[in-house]
Amino acid sequence: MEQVEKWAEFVRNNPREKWKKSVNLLMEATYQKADEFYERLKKTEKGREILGRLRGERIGGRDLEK
Amino acid sequence: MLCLLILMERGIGDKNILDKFAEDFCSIVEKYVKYIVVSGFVAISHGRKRTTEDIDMIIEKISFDKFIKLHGDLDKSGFECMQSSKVSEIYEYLTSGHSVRYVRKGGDFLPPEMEIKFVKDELDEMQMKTRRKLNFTGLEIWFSSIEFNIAFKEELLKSNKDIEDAKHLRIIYKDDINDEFIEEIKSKIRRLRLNEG
Repeated sequence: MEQVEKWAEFVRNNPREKWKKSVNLLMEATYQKADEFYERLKKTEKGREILGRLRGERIGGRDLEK
Repeated sequence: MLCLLILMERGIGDKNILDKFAEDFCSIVEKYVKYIVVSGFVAISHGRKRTTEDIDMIIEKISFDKFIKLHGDLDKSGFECMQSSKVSEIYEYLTSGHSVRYVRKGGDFLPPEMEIKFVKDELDEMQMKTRRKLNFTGLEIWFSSIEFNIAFKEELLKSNKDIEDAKHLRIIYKDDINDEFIEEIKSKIRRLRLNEG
């Protein structure tokens, strides 16, 4: 909770451009990490099996293998 | 050129900013003390598309002299502690059971940040003993085992986000996880963290 409060305070006390850049970098890093993870899975038979299981769990979701 | 600028901005080229931050930090810590990375970063490193501002790390208890060396190396390598710049105060936080947070210097204390705690009980010691590197993550980092991450998320943390993380890890490691071990950990969580039985 302390962390949430600290971040909310930062957002309140700083211009949008300042905190937005930081948020964007984190968001992009997270998505990039996920993309890299799924790319690694595609490279092995076991990984492809896992991708199949993950896809099966996503009812009506996007195809993780793209 | 534009492409290069974008890549530099995103921290791509070798690693994204989260992975670079985590690996840089862990490579320093490893020189002084045994550590594990736990919780949200484990899930994110397995493809969960959600954000996290901090990376949770547990380290073995070390002497003040050894901590001075660790903190000095982190400082020299461009990290600073958010709670204090005085090494004695930081150590006091840790020994009193609190966590301390480190970020890159010059970033206005903005995330990502590493939240560090000392080992606090038998469960943490067990996590430390069963730590492992997880190939799927592509990272040279010591993590707590998948069984531990699942058990903590399902038995202690229990938010929607944690339950989804645990489900995700169960799907990925379906053929490899030891369910008996998860139950053993859950039993210890109930006894040591939830004060049951």
